[in-house]
Amino acid sequence: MMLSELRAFDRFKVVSIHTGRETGRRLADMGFTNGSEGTVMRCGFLHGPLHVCVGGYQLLVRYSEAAAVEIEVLEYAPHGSRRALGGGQGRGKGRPAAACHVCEDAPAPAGTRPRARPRVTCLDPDEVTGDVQP
Amino acid sequence: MKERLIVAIAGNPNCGKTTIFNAITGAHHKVGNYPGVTVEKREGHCRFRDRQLLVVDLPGTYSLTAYSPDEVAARDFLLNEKPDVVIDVMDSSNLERHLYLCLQFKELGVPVIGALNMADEAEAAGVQIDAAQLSRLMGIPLVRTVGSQDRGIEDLLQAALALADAVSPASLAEASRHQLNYGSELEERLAGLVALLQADTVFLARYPLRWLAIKLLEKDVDAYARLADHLQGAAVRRLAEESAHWLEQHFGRDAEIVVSEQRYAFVHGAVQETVTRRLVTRQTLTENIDKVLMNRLLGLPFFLLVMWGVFKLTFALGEAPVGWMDSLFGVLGGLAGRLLPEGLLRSLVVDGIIGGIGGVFSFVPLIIILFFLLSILEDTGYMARVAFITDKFLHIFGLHGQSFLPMILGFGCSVPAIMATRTLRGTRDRIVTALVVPFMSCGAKLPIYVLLAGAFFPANPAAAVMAIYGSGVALAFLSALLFKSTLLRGEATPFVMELPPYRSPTWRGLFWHVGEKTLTYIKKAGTVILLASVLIWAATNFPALPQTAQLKTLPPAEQARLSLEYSLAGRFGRVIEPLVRPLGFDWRIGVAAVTGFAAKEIVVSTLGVMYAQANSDDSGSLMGALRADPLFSPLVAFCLMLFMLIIPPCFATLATIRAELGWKWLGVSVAYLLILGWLVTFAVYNVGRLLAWGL
Repeated sequence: MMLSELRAFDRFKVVSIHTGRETGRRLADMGFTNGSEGTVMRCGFLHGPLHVCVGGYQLLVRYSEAAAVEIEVLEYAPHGSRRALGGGQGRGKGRPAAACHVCEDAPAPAGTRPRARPRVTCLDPDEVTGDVQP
Repeated sequence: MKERLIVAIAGNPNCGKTTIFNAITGAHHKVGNYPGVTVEKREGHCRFRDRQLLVVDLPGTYSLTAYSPDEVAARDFLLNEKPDVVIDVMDSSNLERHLYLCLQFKELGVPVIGALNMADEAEAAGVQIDAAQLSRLMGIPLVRTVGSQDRGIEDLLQAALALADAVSPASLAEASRHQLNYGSELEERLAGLVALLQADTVFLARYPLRWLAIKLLEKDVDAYARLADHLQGAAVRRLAEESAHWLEQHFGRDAEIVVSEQRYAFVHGAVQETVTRRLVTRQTLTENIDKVLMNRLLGLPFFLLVMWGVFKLTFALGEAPVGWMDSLFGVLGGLAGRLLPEGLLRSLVVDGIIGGIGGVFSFVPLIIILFFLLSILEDTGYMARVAFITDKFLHIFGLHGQSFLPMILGFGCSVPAIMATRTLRGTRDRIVTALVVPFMSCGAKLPIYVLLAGAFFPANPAAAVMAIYGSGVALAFLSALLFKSTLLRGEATPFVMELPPYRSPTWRGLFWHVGEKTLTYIKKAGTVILLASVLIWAATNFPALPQTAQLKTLPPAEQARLSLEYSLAGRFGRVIEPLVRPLGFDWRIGVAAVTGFAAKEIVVSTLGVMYAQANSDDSGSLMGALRADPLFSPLVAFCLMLFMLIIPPCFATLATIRAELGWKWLGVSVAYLLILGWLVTFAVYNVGRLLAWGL
């Protein structure tokens, strides 16, 4: 499924980017990478740009660019907040907690595996000096 | 220990980079352009612990690709100037993308120190960073700072100098061994490329080879271009292409994306390990404002209301200072007139030089106010929202959401409008926007429209003026489409942009923005306008009409008309008459169009002189004179308005186009506007005549 098919307040996880060159690179640079999670905040009028929150950043992407981002839906927005036609700016009372940082820390919805904590190795263990000012 | 150090300040846009720069350098900085591109380059000096620092503010970027001039400027600076230390400014409340860029700086083989900026905001938002651990993971020193309050700047500089002093060939070689590990598949390919690149010792000395190898895998055009100097360039190129192809087969996506995913994977891990975030930090204020400003129904009307307010306020506040400027130059002109003997010199000084400089400076108050208001909109973060609202429509015509602001500004004055195209990141978007800005009728063209519409469309002059404005807007969009499908063809520039949180602008920031823009205007436009005014003055005064006794008996208005007819400009008008004849004009209109290059409102006063109206400010009598002329009909008047709308703008605008885009695009612009202006007017005139409109 592609990012462009989502509507306001749907939560998603990026699978991969299906475009190369400048557009693909820009998307990747801005944080659309395998595994990053986000929320659609609002969709522009008539397939206008999407306002998306990915990994804590608020980004604008064109509909055509969003159509190149393959995603996996984590959670659809509650019914009341979605408009019947087109990707609306969700209105109604059942607005979910869609603020940006929440998308990172909210408990994983049922049916998704908890993320494995990645192992990180130091880039340069020898160079660590006392320069750090707490 | 070096006495003089070069310190580069780098980082994402919107992370407080410029605040840190200002905090370090204070008021001692100058603004220029990077060679070859109009990306702004700030440089400043400061003394710290008896060392002289040259501080360079690199353009804010998200990455270091070859796609945008900003990023190329930043990485060329790091590669060629080899700064002694790079301060990477990061927004502590959301580190991931900043660390992603930081990895790329490290790969360039320059000593990097990280500034965890906006530390106060991050703490308030409940973000806690284990700086010691993060510093170990990234392999760079980190310092907490709050640029807006000058906190941590001393520590930052001290740590930066310590890092710069510790740099030695050995430490650099050591650092180059401890880089991000891209995983065995990529590392194998990288090792192969590095081994081949090493064969050329000149290359070994000039570039960090691992960085070059990564760039080759990313299919970076600039990196491939650099291979031309390599002894075994062809072999490296072949291997690089094979490797990138293999990666794409293996991972099933673009090689560039594979590389950036590896970087992000590391960054994600590092952030998970070192950053803790208290749950739920909803930016409810920003969200609530966005709900209104980015609303699909309210957003656009609100924006138009804001722009209307900006214009109203600019002209309301600017009226008085513009008047002061005018009277100041009036007084200067009067003074010079009294001091100098009657004759050519006086005329040159009073009408040519003082008049010309006065013309430039009378705009300055307006520019200051306009840019002040726009900087507020820009600094608060509203402009990015405007792009969201307008992009859909503009994209149809090959423009960008951010093209909207310069185009709206064009209704005020094309000079600041073309300068405002700098906010556009994509070079092609920028060029197209600047090329279509002249179609937005500027304030100086309004007097021409008012004169002609008042004289020939007395029933409804406003409708005639609106029709001209509307034609301009339509031509702007159609021309954009034309340019985008011919000269500036290519893939659409990605729109992907960040939506910054709302911030209240700081006085210091506003002051710098406005000061820089105003100085640029005075310097760039000022010199050219002065020259142009002197040239136009010469063309309308030389050769001088022989003073005969008969002439002296004529009224002064008649004398002025005859002397203009006799001058170079008058003769030029005669020469080009065959060109404007098919448009329904005669030589007098040709002359008016030529003098209009100095400033468009001069067209009205030239017509005044031509029709021997002594008092050219009295447009009522000029209207009468125009109506009495058998040449004019409503159709011709409309064609003249159209012609004035399209033909190339004033010298100030042309000078700005040259400064921003270079001679080539200035040539394109002038040729296009001349040809289009002639063709459109010709078509309207002849179709109108056939259908007997307004004869």
